Amino acid sequence: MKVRKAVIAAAGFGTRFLPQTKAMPKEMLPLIDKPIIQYIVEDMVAAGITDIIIVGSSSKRAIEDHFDSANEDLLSNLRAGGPKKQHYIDELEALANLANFTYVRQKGPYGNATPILSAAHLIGNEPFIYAYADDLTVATPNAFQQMIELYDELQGTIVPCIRVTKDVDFDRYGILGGKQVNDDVLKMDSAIEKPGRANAPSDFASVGGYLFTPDVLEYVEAGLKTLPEGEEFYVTNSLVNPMLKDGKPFYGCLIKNSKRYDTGDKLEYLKTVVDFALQRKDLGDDFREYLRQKV
Amino acid sequence: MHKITKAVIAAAGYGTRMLPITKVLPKEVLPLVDKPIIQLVVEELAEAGIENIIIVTKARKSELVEYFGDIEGGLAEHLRNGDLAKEALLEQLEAVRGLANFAFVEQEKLYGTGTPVLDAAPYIGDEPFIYTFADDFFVAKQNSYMQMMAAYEQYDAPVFACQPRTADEDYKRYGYMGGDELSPGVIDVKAVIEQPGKENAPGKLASLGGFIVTPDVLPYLRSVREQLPDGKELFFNAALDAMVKDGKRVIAKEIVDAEYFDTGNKLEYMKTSVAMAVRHSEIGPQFRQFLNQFVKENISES
Repeated sequence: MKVRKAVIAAAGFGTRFLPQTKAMPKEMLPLIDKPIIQYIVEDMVAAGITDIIIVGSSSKRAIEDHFDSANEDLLSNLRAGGPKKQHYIDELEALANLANFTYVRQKGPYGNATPILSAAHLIGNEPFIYAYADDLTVATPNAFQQMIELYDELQGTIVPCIRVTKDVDFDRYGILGGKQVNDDVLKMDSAIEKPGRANAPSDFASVGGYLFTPDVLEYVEAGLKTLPEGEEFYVTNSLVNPMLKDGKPFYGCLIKNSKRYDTGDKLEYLKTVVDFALQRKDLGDDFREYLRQKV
Repeated sequence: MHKITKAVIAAAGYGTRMLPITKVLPKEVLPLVDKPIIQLVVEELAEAGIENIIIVTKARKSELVEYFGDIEGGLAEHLRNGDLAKEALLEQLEAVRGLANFAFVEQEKLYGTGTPVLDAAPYIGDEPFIYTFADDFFVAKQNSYMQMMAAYEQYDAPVFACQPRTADEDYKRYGYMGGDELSPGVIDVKAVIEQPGKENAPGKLASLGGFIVTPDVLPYLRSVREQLPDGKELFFNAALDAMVKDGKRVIAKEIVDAEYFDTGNKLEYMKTSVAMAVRHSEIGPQFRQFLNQFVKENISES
């Protein structure tokens, strides 16, 4: 079945960015002039996703408005600017038409499996991408395209990965165990959180996000039922491990030609901003000169 | 002499140069690392003794109102139930709320730097106040508003903040002043020209940052407004220019030991983001390290 739906988890408080995130959702933090979540949405759309479910909370209205028609006040200001500003109007219109957006409030226990629970009734019996809004992998073709291509071929859950080499990374990522199908694909039989190099079963590190087969929703339901009172609801413990145990096919997919950006804390966010700004054609040369002088 | 305790911040722009992020978010709340740009302005005002701040916005800038308002219930609860670090964040947020008394006035539909002053004036009363913008600021050894207040106290006249700017493109961007130096860095303004171009500039001092507005400026601003041709912008500088031409004293104060930061377009916003990250108490040292390495790897020496 064609992959056309995606769920984006965007319900966090963004406490690592306070006080800034008092005024706006962290998913709306700009990388130069576009919110982080827009980069993710654009990649999804380029990969053929048509329906995007964003799981948020009461303070995330800015995300909904961003992917809606622009307000008339702004539009009339841009129209008054004449042909010079027409490209902004076009860009804003395109933003509202990128995909069918649906917004759900997160409900349920704390943990990264809960957004899937909150969106389950909108997913139906089809595969879907599950992504976090602060995880950005820039790749050619984009990471979602690579995942979907592999799904179309193998029809199992796809776990996007990078190959890790440094010791610290084995203490930082979840590492996949299993048998390599080829250079870039691993048929997975286990996942170990932060095993350290000595205990790592491979060098495939999971970077966040999944392309799930439809049957994951049964595990969401079952996982919630069996979750002990007060426990947190996690993808690895409640979904991935039980599915592997039942012999469901999982594949680690090395994302080729990729660079991964984390925007989850201030330092990593700022590093990402600088890297993105340098690559921008409209800023690159002036910004490069500025950095050269600054250092 | 009236002690200055009020400030007006103009924050009513559309931020079109920052689109698409400003489709929804006011440009004044875009982050510099972890604080909205406008907070740096507000912090400097509060440090200078300003107690009441009127922010002039256009409709729909609710993020701005919320930022200086009460902490949203869910977030407050989340922070209260967290660890010590989260409690500290809650205190930090309460401190933002307590920086000053905030009031919001909606700007009427007239462009230009003069309009926010007229919109806020009815709420100020017969006293001098600071007028400043939400997207540029000084980082100064001595608070830039305090430098301006000192000039005001000495000469009892409206004050321009200024710094010398002499690049060709600057003369097409800023308002320029000329006049006689009363004391080092303090000018008795004789001419004000908006974006004069290099050949017509009355001096080297460009109007940057804010102003101290005395009550007698307002009638001039109203009269400029009455005579404004349809479709023209109302520039605040035009009122000061009219005052000067009328023989009234207007002061320009050069802000010394200070670096000026602008966030009005993408490039300036990026440069200011980097500069604030380098200075940041928490991530500064690591960010500097990153920057050195990044430049070495990505920007050739040539």
